Amino acid sequence: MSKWSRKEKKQLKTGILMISPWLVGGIGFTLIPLLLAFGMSMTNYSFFSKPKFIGFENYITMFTKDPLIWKSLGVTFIYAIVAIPLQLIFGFLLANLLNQNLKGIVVFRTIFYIPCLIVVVSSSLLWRQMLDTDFGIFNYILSWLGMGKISWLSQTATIIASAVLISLWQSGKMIIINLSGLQGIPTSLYEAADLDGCSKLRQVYYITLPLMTPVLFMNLIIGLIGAFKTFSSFKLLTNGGPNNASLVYMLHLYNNAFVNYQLGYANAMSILLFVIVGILTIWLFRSSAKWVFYGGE
Amino acid sequence: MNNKSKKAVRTVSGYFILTVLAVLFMFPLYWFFLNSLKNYEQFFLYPPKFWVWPLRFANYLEAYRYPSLQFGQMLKNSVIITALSVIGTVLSSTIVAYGFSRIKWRGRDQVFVLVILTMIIPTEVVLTPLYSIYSKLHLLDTWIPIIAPFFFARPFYTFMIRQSMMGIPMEMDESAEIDGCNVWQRLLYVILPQVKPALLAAMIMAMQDQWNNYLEPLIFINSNSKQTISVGLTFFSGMYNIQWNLVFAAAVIVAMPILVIFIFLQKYFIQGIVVSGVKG
Repeated sequence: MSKWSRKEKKQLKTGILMISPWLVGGIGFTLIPLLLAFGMSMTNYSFFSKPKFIGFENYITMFTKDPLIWKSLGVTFIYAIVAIPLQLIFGFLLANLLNQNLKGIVVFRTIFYIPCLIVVVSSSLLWRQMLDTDFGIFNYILSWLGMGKISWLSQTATIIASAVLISLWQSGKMIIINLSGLQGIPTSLYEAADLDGCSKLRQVYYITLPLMTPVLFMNLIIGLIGAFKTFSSFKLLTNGGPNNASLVYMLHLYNNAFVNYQLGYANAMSILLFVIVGILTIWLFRSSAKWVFYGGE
Repeated sequence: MNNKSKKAVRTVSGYFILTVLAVLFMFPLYWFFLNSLKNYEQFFLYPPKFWVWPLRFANYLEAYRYPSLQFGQMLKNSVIITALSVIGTVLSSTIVAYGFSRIKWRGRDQVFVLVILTMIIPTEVVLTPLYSIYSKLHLLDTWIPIIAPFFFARPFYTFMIRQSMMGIPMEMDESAEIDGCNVWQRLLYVILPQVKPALLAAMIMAMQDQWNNYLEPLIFINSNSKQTISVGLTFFSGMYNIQWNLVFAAAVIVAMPILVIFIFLQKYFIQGIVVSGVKG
């Protein structure tokens, strides 16, 4: 410590003081609850009775006696595998379209952002009505193409397809993040490519894509977490039904915690979710060394 | 083809693709508004009508005044909760971002990695333990569990504002320091004016997140008189014999404030989000 100059010490003090809201928040809203979740996952806490230590029993039950865990993990994984790539590709392509130097482009940007301002309760309501088997506009438009009526919200595949469609409709945030990334690319690079006679499509592939990998990576992480914590749209579209066909993991967790009041068990589920998201994120960060390009390195 | 006509083709095709996609994107919104102006019977017409006449504007008033729902009260709750959350975001995230970008202190960038890490832990993971904590502190059925996190620098907004602050040349702080500005004055007079777009973007996103918040009010609030309108809308749609036209009218009322604010602020929005150079 003696090596530190007075100025350095003062800077450190100011710095810590300034970040203290985050520090307190991180400890109070994340670290302590996380530790508590782990502690409570070892109990049979059920809100009405005193918690009793039961070791790893909740975890054993989870892996051996609760088929809905596997069911809900399966639904969540399928949703993630379908939704994340589509969101990434869609967001990237649309942002490229919105990055053109056209008159009135701001109007288009606004149009594509607006759907994500609609609260999830309303958008689920709207899509439920549009996807209605008998009176919905969706099936009516499909009937022009000679297709029969589909009950969209009655089985896993079509429910997931619907949820993905809604998430694409409301992917404004991802589009905007992509767009801001695109605007950070120096135009001189494209001008040089133009002079060399490089076509626009090749420019997207050889200039835009590599320079956008940090942003795509960030969107991938946001998308991954978003997919695994997905709850509201499934709760409001189908409430996990029919027959648990669309029971996503968070919905199963919610039911255990706040419908059945099995808080000990729900905490074990929280820990499992944390571990799964953690492992996938670490894996992505590791792989990112191979494909994410940071300028100046 | 010469360059000029090539460019014209590109412009036309650009507009064409964007217009087609915009129509696809706008259609559900159109349907949303149309639904709020239909009468009850029109929900059960097949084939569905793409346009109805007369438009039933009375839906809005009837939805707002719907007996035993406290629509006005819940709307007011949401406005207060959202406003407080936006204020909390501006206060806490700005100061924390400042401490992570403009003040040099040992270990700063290592600690910032932790911010990114907490960004990765979804709130959903700690919902059950938080429920127990709030229950012990007798804070269930109050607004505190919903608002408080916004006053402690939520990582995502902090990250956005910090990225923007990182782009300002250090010379500006230094010359202000020579002119006799202390750290807080530097934040107020030198840094803040330059990160206005990022601040606005963070405000819009915080507003949107809180207005849209469904899971937390659902879990932490029991009394209807304290409930937010976002959850309140489900009371409407969960009733026996749902009055679809009134439900959609209510949903449109809920959408309006945020739509109006966004349309006023949108031109600052996109330039305010700085994400390039994300380094873990």
